[in-house]
Amino acid sequence: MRTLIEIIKIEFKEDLQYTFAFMMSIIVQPIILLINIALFTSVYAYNNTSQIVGYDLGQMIWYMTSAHFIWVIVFNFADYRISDRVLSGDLNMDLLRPLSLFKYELGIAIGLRVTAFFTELIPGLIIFSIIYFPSFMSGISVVKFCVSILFSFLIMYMLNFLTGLTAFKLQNNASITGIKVILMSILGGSAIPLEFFPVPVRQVLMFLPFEYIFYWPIQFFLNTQSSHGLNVFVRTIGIQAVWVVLLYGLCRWFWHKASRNFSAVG
Amino acid sequence: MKIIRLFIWNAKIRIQRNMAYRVDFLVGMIVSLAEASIGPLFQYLLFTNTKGYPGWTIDQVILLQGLVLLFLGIRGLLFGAIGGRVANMVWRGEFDRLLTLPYKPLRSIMASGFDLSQGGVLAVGMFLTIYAGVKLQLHVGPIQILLALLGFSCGIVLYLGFMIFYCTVMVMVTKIGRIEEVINTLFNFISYPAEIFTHTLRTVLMTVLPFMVIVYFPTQVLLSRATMAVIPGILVCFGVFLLSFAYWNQMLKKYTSAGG
Repeated sequence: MRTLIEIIKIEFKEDLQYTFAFMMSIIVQPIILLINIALFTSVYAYNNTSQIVGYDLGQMIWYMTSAHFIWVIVFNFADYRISDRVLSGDLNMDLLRPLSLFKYELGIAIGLRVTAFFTELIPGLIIFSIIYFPSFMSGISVVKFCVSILFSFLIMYMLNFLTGLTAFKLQNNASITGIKVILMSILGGSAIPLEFFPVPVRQVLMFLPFEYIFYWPIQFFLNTQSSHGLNVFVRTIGIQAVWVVLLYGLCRWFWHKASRNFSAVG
Repeated sequence: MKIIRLFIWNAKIRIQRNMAYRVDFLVGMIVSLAEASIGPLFQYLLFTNTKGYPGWTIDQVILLQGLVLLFLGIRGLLFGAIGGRVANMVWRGEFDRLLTLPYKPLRSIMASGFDLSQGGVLAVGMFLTIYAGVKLQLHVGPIQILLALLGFSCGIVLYLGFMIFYCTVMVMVTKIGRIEEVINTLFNFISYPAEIFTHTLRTVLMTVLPFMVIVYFPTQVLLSRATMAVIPGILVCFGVFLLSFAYWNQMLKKYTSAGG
């Protein structure tokens, strides 16, 4: 645990050098928020309704912004970092360390997100709330969001770790990473609310991990009708925990298989 | 002419490089295609679940989205690699090498923007535009085509203007984070019709930040309902380009070759 904390501290110190890059989303996101305010105000007025697919105007406007917040919390470079080191042969240095690559990369990912939490999430939340106040939020919804987002982070990290390991077989896995991002955006509900999709599609999506990274934490953040009640929360956390265990098992198994064939010459 | 020859030369090299990793290139193209489809898919789902927004039918919105992708595809194909290339050059300290070439540095940069991966976006854009055109039974004459191309040209000129500002600042301060992301986000305005914005914002988007000139105007031209309100915006696009060009020349004179 002490080693993990040290890695997190080092990564945090390193990332603090790039606060300007982190804070760039404070400029980018208000533009998207502004477009969403215009778009959905117009749509809700034209449709003469207070709810569309279960979201009121404020929740719909904030949907994309909350998806952005989740990206801020769960994003990490584990896939790029692992594949880069596999291709260059630098991975042999990692193998000499007295801790596993999984743990090392986890420390780096946590450190990176701690920086983003202070430089992107907190200032962003304040600025966006001034532009359009999130009146839908409650204390309980924030607590639910905070718990579920921790599991989202772990699922995302492990998916990235597995993607990184594909470099052992594919050499250039940039396109796999691209596919993963697209799947998360469309099937995870970070680009489009899943309620817009037909019911059969949604039933299939329930069996994939993506909606447990984005869609459900967004529901808790927005305090939507579908996220109310303890049952929904317990069920979501339970499924997220199952995915964490399953993906952890896969990470261990693939790492064991892949690292045995590593030749350390790039 | 020199710049076109240089562009073609660079494009050839880029294609050869892409072909060295054919499978990765093809998958990358599918990814860019899927990425480009998110916007139209969202609009489609919005219109199938609601009445949409005032003054626009689903086919008209598909036409708008098709033209958005067509513009982004052309822009990406011709100049998509500029940002990354300049950033890499500056970080590696290779910018000085550019000054020794027998071409003006800005010309060399502009001629190195070819990005074949954006071909997927262009293809989806063409498909959606043709599909919507047939559905709407549009009668398109040479005047409409010329006016639509004028809108696209203004968009390219405005983008180049922003990119020249970006490159100038990049060369001067070497590390400017995610400025290119800000430019691309600003171009999100082109994906929506002017009618959804408030009167003030609509005026701003027609004139000061003329994003409505780029795709909204061509769409309105094809739907035979364009107005002359975009003329100030057209002038602003060219003004931004000239201003950025002057800024580049001015700052290049101050370049010390010692990290800014």
